[in-house]
Amino acid sequence: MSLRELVTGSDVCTPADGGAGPSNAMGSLANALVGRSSKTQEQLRELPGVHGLPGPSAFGGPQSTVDAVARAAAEGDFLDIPGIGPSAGFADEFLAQGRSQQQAGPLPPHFAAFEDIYRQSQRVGPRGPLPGLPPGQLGMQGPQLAPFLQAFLDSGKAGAQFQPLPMPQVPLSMEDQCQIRDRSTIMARHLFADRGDAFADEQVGKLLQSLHINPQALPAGSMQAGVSWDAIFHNAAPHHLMQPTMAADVAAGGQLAATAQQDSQWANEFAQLHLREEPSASANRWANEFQQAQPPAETWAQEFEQRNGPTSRWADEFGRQTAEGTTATSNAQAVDNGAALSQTRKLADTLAANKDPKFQNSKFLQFVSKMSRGEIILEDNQAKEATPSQIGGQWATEFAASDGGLDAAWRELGVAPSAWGEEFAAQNGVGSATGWAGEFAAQKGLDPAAATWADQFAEQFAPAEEVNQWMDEFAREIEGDVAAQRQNGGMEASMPGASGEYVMSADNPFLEDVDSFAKGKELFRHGVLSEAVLALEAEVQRSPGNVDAWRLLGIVHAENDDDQQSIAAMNKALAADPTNPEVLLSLGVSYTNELDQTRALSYLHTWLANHHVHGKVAASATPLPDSSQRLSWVVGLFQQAADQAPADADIHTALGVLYNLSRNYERAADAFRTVLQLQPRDYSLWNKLGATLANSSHSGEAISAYQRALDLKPNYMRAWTNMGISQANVGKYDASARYYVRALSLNPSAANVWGYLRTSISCAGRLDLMQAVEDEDLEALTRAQPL
Amino acid sequence: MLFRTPFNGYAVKFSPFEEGRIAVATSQNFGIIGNGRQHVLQMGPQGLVEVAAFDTKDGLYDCCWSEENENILVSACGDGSIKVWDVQAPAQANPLRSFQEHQREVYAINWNVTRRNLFLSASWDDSIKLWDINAPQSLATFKEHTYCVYAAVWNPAHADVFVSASGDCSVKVWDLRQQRSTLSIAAHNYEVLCTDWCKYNDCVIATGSVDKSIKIWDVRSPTREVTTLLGHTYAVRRVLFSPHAESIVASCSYDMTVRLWDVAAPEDALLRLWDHHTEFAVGLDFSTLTEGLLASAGWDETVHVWNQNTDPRAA
Repeated sequence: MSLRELVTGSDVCTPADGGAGPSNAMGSLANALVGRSSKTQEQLRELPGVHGLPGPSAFGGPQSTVDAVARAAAEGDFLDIPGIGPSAGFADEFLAQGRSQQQAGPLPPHFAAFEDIYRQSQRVGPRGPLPGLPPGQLGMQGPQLAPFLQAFLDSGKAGAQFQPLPMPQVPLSMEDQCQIRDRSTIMARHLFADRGDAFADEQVGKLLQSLHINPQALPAGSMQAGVSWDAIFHNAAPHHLMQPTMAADVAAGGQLAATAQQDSQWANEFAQLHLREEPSASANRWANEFQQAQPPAETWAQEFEQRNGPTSRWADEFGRQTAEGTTATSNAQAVDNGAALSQTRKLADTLAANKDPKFQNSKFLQFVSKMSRGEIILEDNQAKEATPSQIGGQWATEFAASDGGLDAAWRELGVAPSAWGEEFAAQNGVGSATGWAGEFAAQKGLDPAAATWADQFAEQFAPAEEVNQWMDEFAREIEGDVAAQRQNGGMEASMPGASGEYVMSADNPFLEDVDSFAKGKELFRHGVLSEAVLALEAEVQRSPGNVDAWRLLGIVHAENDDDQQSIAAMNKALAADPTNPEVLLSLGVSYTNELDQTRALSYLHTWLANHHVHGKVAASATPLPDSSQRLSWVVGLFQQAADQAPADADIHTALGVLYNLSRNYERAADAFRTVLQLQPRDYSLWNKLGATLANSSHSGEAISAYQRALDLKPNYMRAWTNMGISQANVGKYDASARYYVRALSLNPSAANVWGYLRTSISCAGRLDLMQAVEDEDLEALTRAQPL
Repeated sequence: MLFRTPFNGYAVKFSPFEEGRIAVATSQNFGIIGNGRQHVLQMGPQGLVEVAAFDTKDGLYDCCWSEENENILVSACGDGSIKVWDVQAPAQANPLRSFQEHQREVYAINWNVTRRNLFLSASWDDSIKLWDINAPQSLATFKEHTYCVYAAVWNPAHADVFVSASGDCSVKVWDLRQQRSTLSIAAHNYEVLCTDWCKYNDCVIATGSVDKSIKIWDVRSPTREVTTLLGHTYAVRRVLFSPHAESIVASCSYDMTVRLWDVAAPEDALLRLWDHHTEFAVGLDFSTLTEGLLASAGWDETVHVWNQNTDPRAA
């Protein structure tokens, strides 16, 4: 039962069968409020401010509105409705009474104007039927309706209760009555959202009543039993007619059922469409087109699923962040719980400030909306960063992290946030970077280490004037952001920050082991990644300046599918040695994966400028024309350098990365193939090639490339994941599930892969395994889906 | 420029072919009950002049020009039908077609700028239908929302993709090549009344809601909005990205104002505020042919056309 039915009791506009839906709770409410018409009249008379006849209190709105209404009334409307004598006598009597009464409430300011409306409506004679339309078919009731509707709407703005005006029976057909009720309800909900649905329904009820529509006589469901209608009507107390959970469950159930089933009818209709692409391949096309550095997960469903992962994972990361407490970022994160909803929560709070008890009932709507979101939240989660280092890992399988993703997505334009954010910050002084700039800056989640790096970096390049130009800009941006972030306490800070602090593991058995570095390298070579991490962490805790250890740690984390830690470790390495080429290159790659174009370009450019051979190319380049051309300028530089050095694997790798950034996948694949001829046993390059191919909709070829990577390194978890994704892309969901299971057996804590697995399982129709996925029962899954 | 309509305005759209030609969909009695009228106006030296007008049995909630033929106009009608008009044809020949499939009011229509025979209709029967102007029946029905769908808008860069906004508080991105919606964003805590794509970034959408806010989203990171624009004091009825500037958004609201925003501005996103309407402002459009030209329609039965750097009440 959709919300539609709840509101109107039926699916159709004009229920002809005299009462469609099962229980129409909303309708019952409206009915209840309005009550039986005759009784209503009496009740009205007893309301305060009403003597003899209810007066038109609080027809709010400015004078001009009333004029407009009057004009509308005067211009008249069409149909000659037989039998509507403008109830002259009645209206006059009422007006006379209104004027003479001592009313409890103040007379509305424009009561006189309202009087005029009535006068005018009396003067307007019946008009002929609208040309071209059969007479009597229209339900509109001329001048008499407009003021009511106007007042109904104005009552919202004035914040007052709509006091209905009694009118003699106008012959509105049943259809018309339903239509008025339904449309007014929908509109009322737009107007009175902050006062709750019940209030809106009350207003509608009063409107109906004033038009002498008896809602109870309208096709509607049965009334709910066991509620005191009189009490409700008189006291307008908060009432809970709908059990929110029930309604929400129903709504959610409908939602879930709809989405879970295959809509075969649509598929048939769709098949009749003559589209050029085949469905299987086409599924990738558009999603591919705008997922930039985005290897495998092309279809929207999968991309969407990338943000998945058990809620606990996000909570873990979040918990980890709060545990850190070392940076303003993490503190802000702790404070800003549920950042994704904070904005809307503020809004909800504002709306709730009314303290109107009826607002309680709007929880119904909120609950429903939460439930309709609930299915999304179950699947949706904070995106994981996908930033493997270049050397150790493979291409990102996931997609931009939510933290970096948003502004990264903007940066993708090459113009956006860097221009706006930094210009604004630069102009107004970083101190004033509140609001969007602050959020933006905070989202970058800058590591204080970066500031140091920026200083050193700026110093380094002081002499090279041309190069310096946008470098300074970048450095300023970093500084500005850091300062801004500190100033703002990192409001709306991102989730796992793009350059967050590295988190050491607890209970490290290698802490006392002086040989842990050597052991760490050995463990890495043998592919025992989790142990390698511990060994390396022990090393860097003893010698924080050990660049190689940090770098290796970054690589290991990337291969172990923990991009956040990978970037953190790489940044530490960079802090220890700002011009280490491997670190620069890997950071360039990582940030490319995160769609953090500015950072990626900066690191790659620095790498180039520092290169003993290619540095000349960078130094002799024409300066950057303007910041929006940054990407193509850097690509040009790299291409130049690469042309001069056809056997330099690194430069071609970097070029491949850059071409991915600019979505030029053909050239990116060429660049990687060039490198692979030089270094055919580099498993990560095969993985990168695969990812590039997958990005450009060549999932079949991508699978071959991944297979090469896996042949070279059988426990290469990332490649297993990527393979799974490509299999899913070509529609082999069962196979892809098996690959995911294998990947997870190598690293069970990869939240994103759990999400992919969930999608594949459901696409493969193996809903029997869904519970195992939910429980993260790897054993059962491996038994069920072996490779 | 100003034009007064006999009924309450609901939608206004500039023609993509003729400069200064505007379609206005209007309904009697605020669209609650009564007739509807579809106007075609032309800007001229004397102001706005009515070129054609078509009457309908029920109120009209939206209208849309064909991208294929400069004389074809479609209207979304409260009785669930979609009317096709030919501006040049005589009154007896109009409407050319009436597509009657929706079971409830059709609230929005949007034409595909790439596949110029296709258009979408969004309805209060919770569904969206895909139509070919030349086909007798709808080509597809998209039914996933659980409440009224208030808007469906094609992606200007990708002919198969569109976004829909619904009273179930969600916004869904759809792809014609996929059976189910490809993305569902829980955009607001209240009903989402409108949505639009950025014309310069194919991943960015704006949504406007009953909660008085406008949110900008990047569909690649749907968990969190890019930015929120606050300022309206009532539900936001329409939100549009400018066809001429990447970060400019216009909105109109039940608070009777039309506002212009710069979503890229960190603070002071609000560029302009126009309160020329004395009732709900419900119709809004940017002209694609004339940069900076805006039109708005309201329940106060007026249609205003003005340049965004001027005041609508002037001239």
